Amino acid sequence: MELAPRSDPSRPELDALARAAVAGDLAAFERLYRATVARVHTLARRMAGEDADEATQEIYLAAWRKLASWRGEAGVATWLHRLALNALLDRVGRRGFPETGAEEHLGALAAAETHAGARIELEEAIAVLPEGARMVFVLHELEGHTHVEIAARVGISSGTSKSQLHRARLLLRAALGEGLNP
Amino acid sequence: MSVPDPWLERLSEYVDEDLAPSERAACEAHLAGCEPCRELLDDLRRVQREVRALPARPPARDLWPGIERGLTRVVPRSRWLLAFAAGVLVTLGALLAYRFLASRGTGSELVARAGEDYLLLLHEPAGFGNGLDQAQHAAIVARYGRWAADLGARCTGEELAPAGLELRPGAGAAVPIPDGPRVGGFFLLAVRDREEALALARTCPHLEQGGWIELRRIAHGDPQPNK
Repeated sequence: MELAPRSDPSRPELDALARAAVAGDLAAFERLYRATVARVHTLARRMAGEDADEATQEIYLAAWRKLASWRGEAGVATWLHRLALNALLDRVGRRGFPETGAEEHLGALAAAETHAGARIELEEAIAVLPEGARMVFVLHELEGHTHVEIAARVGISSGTSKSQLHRARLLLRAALGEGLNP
Repeated sequence: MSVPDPWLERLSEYVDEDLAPSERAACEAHLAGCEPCRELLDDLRRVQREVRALPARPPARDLWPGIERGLTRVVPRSRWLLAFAAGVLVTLGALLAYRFLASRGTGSELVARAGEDYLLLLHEPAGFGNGLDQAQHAAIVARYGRWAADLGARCTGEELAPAGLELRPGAGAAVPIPDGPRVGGFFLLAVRDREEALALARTCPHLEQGGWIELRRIAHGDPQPNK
């Protein structure tokens, strides 16, 4: 999965910051952090919920330690994103992967619907999806992984991955209702 | 609908082009005659479009100060590691009950393992690191950290704060350790044998920084004085 970073600095700029950081330049690492944190934290919010801040800090601490293992074939933003995704999956894996509990979340989804702004509504609706459905949804819809990849990584069957994705989309559809832009 | 529509549960697979060609044709034939399924299909595609258009947002508070503080440590602390650090400071005897973790960072799980464990005590000459600013210090710590990280789960360690206390029998109050050579940190290595421990220790950046390393096998209750 090679999603291009959405943050502003170009790949050569980010890679140059990363090389400086490998040489021990803390200021360069801080600039790398500031250029990439929106995307990392957005992923962390979706995967780790209220633990997103702590998870993000752990990801950057791990990135500083492991940066020397970045070979430069992929851009550092892509490398960092992979590191973040794996760290977040490990974190979620430690909590276990729940398979049930959709219905009690419908109330929370309906509450999220009342907020103004379709974009915020959608973020909140994702945030309150049942965890199993949310993981599969994020991995498939936002990270571009196949059901086979998700099944292997998360430890569920490919069929479960498919049904969780469908469930997540149905819940989001129900939550967003009129908020969906045609 | 009087009977459950089986395609309602499979439209995500249609959206994602995950259906076999024959199933896809059957689904399309069904869609042509089923208004509810067509509506759901449109909504599923809208959800997908909307979600993929969501912008990335930074955290509500600045997380950098916490990260910067963390960078001055070699590896993340765990309860186990804190217990170990305390053991090093007071007495190596506290180690006897431990077997090293199979992987670093899991915190509490103790795993028996073939091979040996070695402690690398990082000795520093007097004045070691004097005159370094915070960034230079962090760069050196990071170099040590990368050396440890490259060894993966086999290596863990910590930097020790420069100030400390000495407790001597019968001396009464604990006194600050005097200026001069001291232990500045430690690594723990899980290795096959002493030769591997020695080979790895030779690559430790501490030597290039001007420090020296004391290599000690963890006895695990079996002292074997010659090893």
